[in-house]
Parts: sequence; structure tokens; C-alpha cells
Amino acid sequence: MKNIGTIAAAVFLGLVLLLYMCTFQVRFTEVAIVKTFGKPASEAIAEPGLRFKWPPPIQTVTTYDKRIRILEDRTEETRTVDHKNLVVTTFTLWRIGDKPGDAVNFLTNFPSGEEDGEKQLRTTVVTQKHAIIGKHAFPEFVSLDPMKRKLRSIEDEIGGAVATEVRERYGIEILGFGIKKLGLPQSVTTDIFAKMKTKEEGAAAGYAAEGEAQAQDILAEAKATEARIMAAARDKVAKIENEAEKVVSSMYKEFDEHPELRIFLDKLRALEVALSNRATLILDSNAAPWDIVTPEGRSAVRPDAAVE
Amino acid sequence: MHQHHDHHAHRDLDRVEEPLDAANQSLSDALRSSFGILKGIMLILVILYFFSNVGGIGSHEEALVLRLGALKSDVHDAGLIWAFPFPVDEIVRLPTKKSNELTVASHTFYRRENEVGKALSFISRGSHSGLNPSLDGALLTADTGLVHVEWKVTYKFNDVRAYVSGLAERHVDSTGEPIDPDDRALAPAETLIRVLIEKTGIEVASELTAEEVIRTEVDQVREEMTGRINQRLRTLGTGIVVETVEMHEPTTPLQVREAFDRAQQAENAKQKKIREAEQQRTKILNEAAGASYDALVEALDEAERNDVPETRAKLQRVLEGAEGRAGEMIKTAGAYSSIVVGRMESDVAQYRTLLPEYRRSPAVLIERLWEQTRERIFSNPRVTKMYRPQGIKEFRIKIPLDPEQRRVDEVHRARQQKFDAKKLRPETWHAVGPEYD
Repeated sequence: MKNIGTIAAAVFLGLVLLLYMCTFQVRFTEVAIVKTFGKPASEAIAEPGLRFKWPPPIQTVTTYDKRIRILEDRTEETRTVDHKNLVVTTFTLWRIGDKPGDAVNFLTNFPSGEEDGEKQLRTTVVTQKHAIIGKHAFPEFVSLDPMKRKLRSIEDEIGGAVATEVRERYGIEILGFGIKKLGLPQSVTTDIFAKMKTKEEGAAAGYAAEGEAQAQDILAEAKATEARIMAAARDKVAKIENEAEKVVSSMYKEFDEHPELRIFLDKLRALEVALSNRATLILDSNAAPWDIVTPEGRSAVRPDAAVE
Repeated sequence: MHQHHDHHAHRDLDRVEEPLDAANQSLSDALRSSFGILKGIMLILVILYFFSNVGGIGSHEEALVLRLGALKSDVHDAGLIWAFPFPVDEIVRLPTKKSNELTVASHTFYRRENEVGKALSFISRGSHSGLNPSLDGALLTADTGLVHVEWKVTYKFNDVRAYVSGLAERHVDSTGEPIDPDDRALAPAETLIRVLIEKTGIEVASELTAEEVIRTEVDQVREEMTGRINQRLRTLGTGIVVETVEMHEPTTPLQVREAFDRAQQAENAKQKKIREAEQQRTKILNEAAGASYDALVEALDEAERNDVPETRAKLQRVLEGAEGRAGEMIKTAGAYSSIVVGRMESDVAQYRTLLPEYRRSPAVLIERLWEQTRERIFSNPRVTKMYRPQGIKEFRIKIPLDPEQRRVDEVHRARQQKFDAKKLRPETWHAVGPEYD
């Protein structure tokens, strides 16, 4: 009975070993190439899952990551067509191509490993970078004139040239290319600093004058607007008063019959207003009612006297 | 004899084996118990192996399961996840539910050991030292200037399947070494975002001046960076989305910072002057037409541009609602007009009332009205009444000054004396000013 257990364990281990030697997994992120006695199959396996193969040394498997990878090149000076030096570093987004023969093509070209493929790609990038940047002038990289700027098209041009060279030959697909560093040699930056300094000093002087001028403009405009507002208000006032005058004038005809009565009433009112506050009124003894203070005044009051 | 000898020999052997059996027994017992423990450990290991892919998914995570290398369709949210042990199943976890932060310092200057963490104002460089391209990062601007920027990026994942199946883990630099050697789930995303920030930063800066990048168009730079990077991430189908791109300490190179700061101060002074002028403008117009002066100015402009009844009527309406001095003038005019018209109406009414009586006996009416008025005047205690006796030759009236006016005159006189006294002393000449006028 004891032997049966041992035998079962041995059989199980043997099966596991056999399974290990005769199967392989293709991850969803990978592409696999089966090599029979070192000769790769004509097409790679891109579908994920468990696969069978003959045990080594009959068949072996090479797998590649089929996802996007980033490859940077070295930072180095390169010369534009107008003899300006630029310090440029680039990056390339690449992957093993998804056409049936791409992975096999890559493996055939770089049997020692992916690193060789990366080196080849980097060499191609560097060559194209120098070649294409050398065809363009400095203002095509940075310029105030939008018509002159061509940075993106230069990047596309380098990326396109690299893609053309590596796609068919090595099975490498280029998905993106860009400049990750665009600088100037150290000696040139010193000159740029001097220029920037002069420019900033000029700008500082300009700001002071501009501030003064703009403030004056704003105040002048405010005064002018104020004058316009007040003029419009005065017009409005004149209109209101004219309207009132018109109404008042239309009422004058009411007094046409006896204007002297209206004038008398106005005088009474004026007199009363004038003597309404802190006034001294000096009255003559001949004027009523003071005329009755004297005997002569009182003697004038008799039945036959006429009323004045 | 032989048999006897054998028998003896056997007996001798038995005697010798007796102690060995006890040792064997204990060794056997020890081995048996060791095997038992080993079996137990193996059983535990087998159980642990079978449950090795059972675990929890954090609240900020999502997980995917790979079966025999193929991606299963479900994306697992927070909670318990169960999967077969390796090599059958594999669990891939990603912190997709939270925003992740990344700092990209590729475009800033190299900080020496003693400068790390210091504010820019405490770091300086000689004005004649240039930038070392292998150490210092910078952005080249459209006006051939140089600026330093440190980028602070927040990003998250919007499609975990796309991220896991789109971007490789290994990315290499110019020497063939991994760019980010850390074996972190976020490392590939960060490497990609970093190069896209570097590329897009160069691109955006090449279209703007140094001043625009670090001072006047900061918002535009941020928006352009975010927009362009997200467009590229979408095109690549990486399942990553950049939420914000902020600029940390954007500055000109330290070598020109002093000049730049002076320009900045001058610009601040300019802006201050303009702000003050605008405040003054608001005050002037507020005083002229009140808070709604804008509407009045607009109506005025409209009426001046297009002088038609509609615009004129609109201007009149707006003027009627105006405040400030203009509004006060208009309201005063309105009130005055009402008073004038009202008084006239009252005069007419009075006239109409008295007219019939006047027609009948004008003298009596006039006398009666006069008497009534005189009575009111004479009964007013504020009116001083004086009687000039009949027959006197001379009558003089002395009217005293108004007490209020007298007080004002005294104050003026006192000031004038003080002023004259000071003028006589040379040491106080400087104090003589308009306030003494």
C-alpha cells in the first residue's frame, strides 16, 4: 500500500515535468515563436492561451512583449542647416509589429535578444535625427513666426524615416516619435542670458511709461464720460423745466379776465413771505390801524366819513 | 557441533542486537514523526498554494484575471477575488480609482546638494555661467529665450484593460538600461507621461515667448499641455488620462532672474497704476451717475452712434433711473417742476374761487384780503413792529448785526492776527501756507 502512494507521487511529478516540457503559455501581452531544432516557424503565435510543443531540444519557444515600449536615444549636439548647434534627445514609441511575419523577422535579425533590436533601432534613430535636423534651419524649431515653426513636422519626418527603415527590415512598428530635450550648447546659453537681460531691462523701462500713459488715458476717458453724462443730465433737466414752463404758460390765460386780481394776490403772498421771519416793520402813524392811535385819527371815524 | 556453534553464535548476536534495536526504534520513531511533520507542512503548503490567488481588492483598485495567459473579460472592483493558483491564473491589480501624482523635473535646473528644497530666491548662479546641457533642463522659447519649469501632473486610469494590454513594463534609456527600474504597476504609465510631458513642453514653449510661458500665459500653457497630452494618450490607446498639469516655480534661468524680477516689479507697478486709475474712473462715474453708470454710458454711446427716436427714448429712460449728481439734478428738476406746476394750479384754483366775489365787489374783496394778510403779519411774534409817531423831525433806526455773522467775523479776525504774527518770525515762514488763508 505504501508503494502505491510513492508510485502515484512519482507519476504525478513525472506528469508535471512532462507538462512543463511540452507546454507553454502565450500571455495576452506576448507573441511567441516556436523554433524546431533552432529554426523558427514561419509565423508567430499571437493568440493567448496554453500551447503544446515537443520538449527541448526538439522545440524551444521565444516570446516577445508585443506592447508599446519607449526607447530613448543619447543626448548629443546636432547641427542645423544654418550652422546652429542644438542639443537634442529623442524618444521612440515602438513595438514588435502585428503582421504575421513581423515577430519572426525580428527574431531572425536579432537572435541574441531584444537588446540587439533596441540597439539597432537606436542607431537608426540617431542617424535619421542628424540627417533630418541637418536639413532644417534653427527658426524651424523655435520662432515667433508661426509660419516658420515646423517642430512637429520635423518630429514626424524623423519618426517617418525611422519607421520606413525598420518596419520591413526588422518587423518593428513605430507608434510615435518625439523630441524630449531641445537645448543649446553651454556657450550659447551664456549669450542668450545676455540678450534676455537686455530685453528685460528694456521691458522694465517700457512698463513704467506704459503704466503712466494708460492710467492717464483711463482718467481722461473717465472725465470725458463724466462730462457727457452731465451734459445729458443737463439736457434732461432743461427738458423737464421746459415741460413745466409749458404747462404753467398754458394756465396764464385763466387770469385774462382780471389779471390785476392775480397780481394783487401774488403781492400779498410776497409780502407775507418777506415778513414771515425776523423782520422789523416800521409803521407810519397815518397808516391803519395806527391812525386811530391819535385823536385826529379817531375823529375821522364817524358815520358820514367815506371809506377810503 | 556446527549446529551448536551456530546456536551459540545466534544467541551472541541476539545479545549484541538488543541495544541496537532500541536505537533503531527511537530513530524510526524520530523519522516517523519528522515525516509526519513534513507531511503536515506539505499539506499546509499545498493548501496555501491552492489559496494563493485569493485576496482582497482595495477600494481604490481594480483587478484583472489572466487564465493561462489570456485576459478574462471581467474587471474586478473592490472586494474579495478568487482565482486559481499560478501558473493557471494570475491577478493584475492597478490603483485606477484614485488620482496619482507625478513630478517631472526634466525642464528645471540642476540643484546642488545644498540647494535641494530651497526657495528660488535663495539660489543663485553667476551671470556668466551657462546651462550645462547634461545636467540642467530648460525649455527653449519662441523668442530664443530659456525658462525652467517643474511640472506637477495628476493622472488616473480610465480603462484598466487598455493600460495593461497596451503598455510594456520595460522601457530603456540611451544606454539600454531600464528608464524606471522600479517594479511598480504605475512605472510604465509614469515613464510614458514623463516623455509626453517633455515632448509637449518643448512644443508649447516653442510657440510662446519666455514671458508668456512663465508669466502671462500660464493658464494657456497648462491647458495646451493637458489637451495635447491627452490627445496623444487617446491615440495610443493606453487607458491613461491626465487630469491636471501644473507648473511649479516657473522661472527664467537664475543667471537673469534679477533683471527679470525688476521687470516683474515694473510690470506690477504698471498694473497697480492702471488699477488705481480704474478705481478712480469708477469713483468719478459713480459720483456722476451712480452704480449703474455703465448702462447710461452704453445708452449714450448707442444714441450717439445711431441717433433715432428709439435710442433717444432709451437714453431718456436710463437717465430717469440715474443716480449720483446727474440723478440728483434730474430729480431736483422734476421736484421743482412739480412745485411750479402745483403752485400755478393752486393759484388758478384760488383765483377761480375769488373771481365771482371780485366781480361783485372788488374793493371789499381787496380790502378783506389785505386785512387778513396784515393780521397774520402783525400777529407773527418774529416780526418786530415799530410805530413812527406823528410830527417828529428825525427818526433813526440802529439795526444790530446778526449774532451769527458777528461770530464768523471774529474767527476770521483771530486767524488773521495769528497769521500776521507768524509772518514776522523768519523761523516760522515755512509754516505759512494756504491753511492760513
